[in-house]
Formats: sequence, structure tokens, C-alpha cells
Amino acid sequence: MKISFCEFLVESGIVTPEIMVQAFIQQSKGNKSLPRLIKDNNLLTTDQILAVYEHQTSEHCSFEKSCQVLGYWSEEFSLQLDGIIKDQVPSIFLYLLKNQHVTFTDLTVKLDEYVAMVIESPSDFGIEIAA
Amino acid sequence: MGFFGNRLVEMGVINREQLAEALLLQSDQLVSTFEICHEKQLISCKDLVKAIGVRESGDTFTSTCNKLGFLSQKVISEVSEHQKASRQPLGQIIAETFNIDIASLSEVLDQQRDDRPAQVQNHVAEENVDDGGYAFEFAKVSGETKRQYIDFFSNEIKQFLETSIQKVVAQDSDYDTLLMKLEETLQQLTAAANFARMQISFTLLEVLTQVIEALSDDPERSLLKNGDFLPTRLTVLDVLWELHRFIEVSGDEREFWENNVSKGNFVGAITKLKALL
Repeated sequence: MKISFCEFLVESGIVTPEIMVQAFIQQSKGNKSLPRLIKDNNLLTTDQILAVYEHQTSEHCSFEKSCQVLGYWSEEFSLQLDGIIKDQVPSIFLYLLKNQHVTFTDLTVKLDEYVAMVIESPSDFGIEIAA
Repeated sequence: MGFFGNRLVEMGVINREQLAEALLLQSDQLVSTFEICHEKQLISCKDLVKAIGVRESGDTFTSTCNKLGFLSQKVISEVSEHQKASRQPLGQIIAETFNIDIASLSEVLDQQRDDRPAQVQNHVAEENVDDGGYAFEFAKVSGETKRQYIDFFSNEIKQFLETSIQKVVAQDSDYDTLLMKLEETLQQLTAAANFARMQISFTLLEVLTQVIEALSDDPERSLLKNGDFLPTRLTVLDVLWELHRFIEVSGDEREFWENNVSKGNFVGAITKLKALL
């Protein structure tokens, strides 16, 4: 069954669920909102941003959903956004290390175990192996 | 943006870039669903971590939790209300960020929300406005508390009050039931204003409720014979709605009271209302 690395850390007892949640909250508070990230990186123009907000207000849905309905959330857009997030949003693991919730050694050991698990059953993690 | 933002652009109060910036600032203030779910203990920490892990790109945290069965639609609505209540009104952000006069914003809201010719009269000149002996303090209350009053005093409630008053004056066949519902709604609204510490609205609503109660205790319906009864009531409702707009835009009643025209409207309305008693 697919589990994320964060969940794996929790299940392994390296980090408590509470500390992991606090790390996510700290990460989200210290970073730009999604609309701000999209605007600052010119993924959408001002007019498109306004169209998204207008749609969001009239339809009472999320910013992401409005982007999708208006046809802005393409595969390319998604890839670009993922890249920007990876570049600009510090990893959750940095928060854990910085606040000494995990040691670097524990983290790398667990990462090794996690990767081994993925290699063993790639399909469980949504990875297709070419024939 | 409630189209309020568009109206501001159309009227040249702000440009499109400024509107986008104000909306982005509002988004920046949004407390995440994740955080609310944690604070209110709606989802366990273990499930929160799971939801983050399985979330797909483009999916919101809320929809992921919904798919996983962690959040019911009712709880999602509660979270959404909490988010709305905790953020600054767009008008307030615009006013603070771009140094825009709150009264200009209120004027736009006025034109947008009420196409009816304004029944509120400008009773007084711009200067030396008589405060009618009223002095109000503007206590600091949370955004959520204010929001509760704003949301309770909805457009539907306002329309219900207007229609009911008109029917009562016309001595509709449902007179007694209408009067009872009117009294009940006004009592709830008065309590909501009191709870939100909106003193001006509370003062006006309290007197309005007294007048309706007096009507209930008047089997001869003699109050209705006063020709000022209907126009006075409707004027009072318009002043209450004007206050509502000020609270929505600026967050409290201070701007209303500092605006001479608005203050004059209040004094005029409450004086006429008291004269009915």
C-alpha cells in the first residue's frame, strides 16, 4: 500500500504524528500562499488571476478548482508549479532537522529503507516499470 | 471578489493590478484548512499526515480529506466559515494598502447592493452634525464575532423585515403571525448586534423592537394610523443596512459614526422612531 515518506517516518516511530503536523503548519506559515506563488512566478497573468478569484467567489470553490475549471491548470502548469514549489518552498525535513526532531543519520537511514521498499514494490507507489 | 472588486475597478477607485494585489493579500492571510482541522481537532494527527501524503497535485487538502472520508460536507462548511471569519474584509485591505477612503468603498457597495432609489435622506450638512446626545465606544471584538452579526443580518433577513413591515401596515390577513415573526426576528437581530458589540446597530434595533412590541400590545392598532409609521420603519432599516455595509467594509461602526452624513441619518432615524412610541 502506498504510503508517503512522512507517513513512513511516523509509522517507524522516528517522529510523532503531532510533531509532523506541527512541522507542516510551520512550513505553510513560513511560505507564500499558492495564489501568490503562481502570480510571483508569472504562471498566470493579472487578468487570469482576477478571473480565477471571480470564479472562486461566484462558485464558492477553491483557488485550485477554479484554475482547473477555467482551463489554466494544465499538465505543463502543474509541472511548472511543482518545480517552483521544490525550488522555493523549504522541505519539511529541513524543519524537522532544524528543530532537532530528527537526526540526519536517522533521516538518511529511513530514506534508504523507504527507497528499498519502493524498489521492491514499485506498482504500490504508482510507479510503472518499462518492460 | 463578490464583484465588489470589479465595481471598484470600473469606477476607477483602484486599477486591476491593485485589485489583484488586494486579493492576493487576502489569500496570504487565509488560515489553512490543515491548521484549522488540527486546532479544532477535526482530524487526528495521524490522518492529517496520511492526507498530506496522498494528496495529488491540483487537489485541495479539503477534497483529499473528503475523498478519504476524514471530513464530512458539514465540517467542510464549518471550516470554510471559520476561514472567512478570520480574514480581513477585502474593502479593509484595499483601504489600508492603497490609502483609499472607506466612504468611497461604501458608496460602491451601496450602488452595488441596492438598486432601489436610496430612501435614506441626507438630513444634515457636512459639518457640525448633532450627535443627538449619543456617544458610542468602539470596542475591539474578534473578526469572527463581527462576521456572525454580518452573516445573520443577511439580505434575506433585510427583505423579510421590509416585506413584513409593509404587510403589517397594510393589515394583511396574517397580521398576528407576521407581527409575531417580525418581533422574533428583531429580537434575534438585536441580540446578535449586542453580542457583536455593535452599539449603534444595537441601539437602533432595540428601539425598533420596542415599537413592534408596542404594536403587539395595541389591539386597536392605533400606531398604524400614524402616517409616519411605514416611512420611519423603512428609513430605520436603510440606516441599519448602511451600518451593515460599513461593518463589512471597515470591520466596525467607527467609520459610520465619523461620517457626518451617516451620523445624521442615524440621529434622524432614531428620533423619528422614538416619536412613534
